Amino acid sequence: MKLMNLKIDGLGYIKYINIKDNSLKLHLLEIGLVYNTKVRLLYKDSNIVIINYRNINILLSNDIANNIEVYDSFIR
Amino acid sequence: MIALLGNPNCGKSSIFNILTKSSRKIGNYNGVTVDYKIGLFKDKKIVDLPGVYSLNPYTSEEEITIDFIKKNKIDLIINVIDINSLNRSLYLTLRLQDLNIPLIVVLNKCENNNSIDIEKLEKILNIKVIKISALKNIGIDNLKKEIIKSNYICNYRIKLNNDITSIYRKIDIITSEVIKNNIKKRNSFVLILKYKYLFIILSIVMFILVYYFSINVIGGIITNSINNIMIYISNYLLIILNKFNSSIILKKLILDGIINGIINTINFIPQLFFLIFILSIIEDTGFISIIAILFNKLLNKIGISSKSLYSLFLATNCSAMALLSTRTIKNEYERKKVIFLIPLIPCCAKISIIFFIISSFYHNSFLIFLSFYLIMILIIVLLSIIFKKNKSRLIMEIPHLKMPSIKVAYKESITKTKSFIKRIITIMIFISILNFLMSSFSTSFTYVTDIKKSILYFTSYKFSFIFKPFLGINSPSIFLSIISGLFAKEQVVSTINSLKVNLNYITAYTFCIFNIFTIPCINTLSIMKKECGIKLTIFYNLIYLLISYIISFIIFRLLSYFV
Ligand SMILES: Nc1nc2c(ncn2[C@@H]2O[C@H](COP(=O)(O)OP(=O)(O)OP(=O)(O)O)[C@@H](O)[C@H]2O)c(=O)[nH]1
Ligand SMILES: [Mg+2]
Repeated sequence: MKLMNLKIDGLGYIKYINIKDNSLKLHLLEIGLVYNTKVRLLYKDSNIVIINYRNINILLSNDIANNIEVYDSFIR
Repeated sequence: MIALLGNPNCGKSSIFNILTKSSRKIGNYNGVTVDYKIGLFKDKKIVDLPGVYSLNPYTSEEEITIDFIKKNKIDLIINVIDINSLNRSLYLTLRLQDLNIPLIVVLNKCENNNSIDIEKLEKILNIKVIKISALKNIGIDNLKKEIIKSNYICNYRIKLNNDITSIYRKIDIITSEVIKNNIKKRNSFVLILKYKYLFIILSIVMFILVYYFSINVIGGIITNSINNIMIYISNYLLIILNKFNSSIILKKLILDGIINGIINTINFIPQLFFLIFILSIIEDTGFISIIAILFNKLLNKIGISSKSLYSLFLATNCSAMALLSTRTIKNEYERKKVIFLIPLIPCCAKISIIFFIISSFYHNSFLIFLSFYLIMILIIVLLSIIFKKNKSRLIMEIPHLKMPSIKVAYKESITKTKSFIKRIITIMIFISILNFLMSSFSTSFTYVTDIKKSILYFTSYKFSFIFKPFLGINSPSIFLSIISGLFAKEQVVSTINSLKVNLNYITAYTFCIFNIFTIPCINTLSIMKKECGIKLTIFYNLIYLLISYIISFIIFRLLSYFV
């Protein structure tokens, strides 16, 4: 499911990032949004989402958040 | 050379300030530092760099860091880590191994986080780890000892493969071993976002109160008493000058020109100091990010992203600094747009012009002050909509809110105010001498007493017709004061005072409007050229000139018609 579609305060685990722009994709991975990372959705509106992961908060515009797929539970 | 390296907002500049006794700018958001600075600790060079997440730069300020590391010989890297986000920060630490440079790890912000087993972490990484708090001055001596040692060795080696996911897996294992009990930072902003509209109103009220207080309370009471002291000093100087029997020319130059100009500007220092102080307190809490989120829908409508708001906020302090901060904006179109908008926002120096005008002509009326800001906001919104383009991608870390540090804010406002005063004095002396020479000599370089025969009158008369349409008067001194504003905007006030420019309550208003929107000071111009090239700089400044001219003309006509 899409990161965007998590409920507020809902948990997800990163599945993959579907972004063509390679430098952006690399950046997202390097700041820790790697496979199976636990993220919590804190806030969303029509432009942005805010997520919490690894004890930090980041704001993503919707066009980025739209292209991040998450699982709803941890995959072993 | 020793390099301070770490993620954004982990406290590198705070540590740099302590070690080298400097006063680098500090703030609770990512990308405060956007250029490098070298300082000295004992005999060792230390460099403070913009924050990076990895060795692959994403924004242009990250590029500066990576470039610096690759081009200079670094003897030791001090890898600063915010102890609260160890889990993310260790990625950079592990990646730094590729550089083969001696490394120590500094865990900062440890004052109320005791959850990490330092010895274990040291053992796993095989790197010296030091716990400090730059804010509370804890553990700094240990860090200093480590730096003084100077036989830095490079003995870390954790086997890594190149896959980012597997590096993070390794980090997860390391942190699960060293973190004893996980301290979760509370996300206070979630609560704020719940009552979004309430906080939108609160933050607007807050800003209005800050300005109101600085104009009516500080402006009213403190400025008046300073004024009296200054008058006393200048009278005293007059007595001294009389004692030495100095010539009238010298008296005119020193007393009228230099002293008078400086005194009248220094009058506004308490107000400016208060403003800068409050702004840095706000910056230090991290509240700007909250404002950026609260207003993100509104900002999006006019084509400004939350990230750009930082730069626009900094512009209320200093345009030059704000221009530099646009380096953190990834989207080039948006960056150039923000660069264009920044000089239109009144910086502290321009605010001193506004303060002067409203205190001399409008009895410190807060409504008049607000009207300047409303016109400014209107113009920025309009221009912003005109240059609106599709939404740009945005990715921005939100810092945890924290209690502001009075010490940090105080230090910053003191440094700012000092450099402000220094600038006023040096430029004022220069302008006064120039003014004295130009108004005392004729075009054939003979001494004249009638100003109508002087170079000043001759040259500025030729140009001052330019200002007639919106000032109604044709005055050489207005020309000179606007020109002096090119050196530094606060200079306009000094020059008006020392030249005794004749303004009335209509022309004072248009004069102020013109100065707010016209070409910025030289310092801003040179940074603008560096950030977006000479062509764009010229283009932008032509627009500023046009805008300031047209708006002050319209307002002059309207005011003359109605009032
Ligand atoms: N609680 C706490 N806060 C700290 C400490 N050291 C610094 N800070 C705060 O952390 C924030 C960031 O500090 P800076 O020194 O600007 O961080 P930086 O690493 O230079 O940030 P960038 O230049 O943006 O990369 C500021 O609000 C500081 O007041 C500390 O020891 N404890
Ligand atoms: Mg910094």
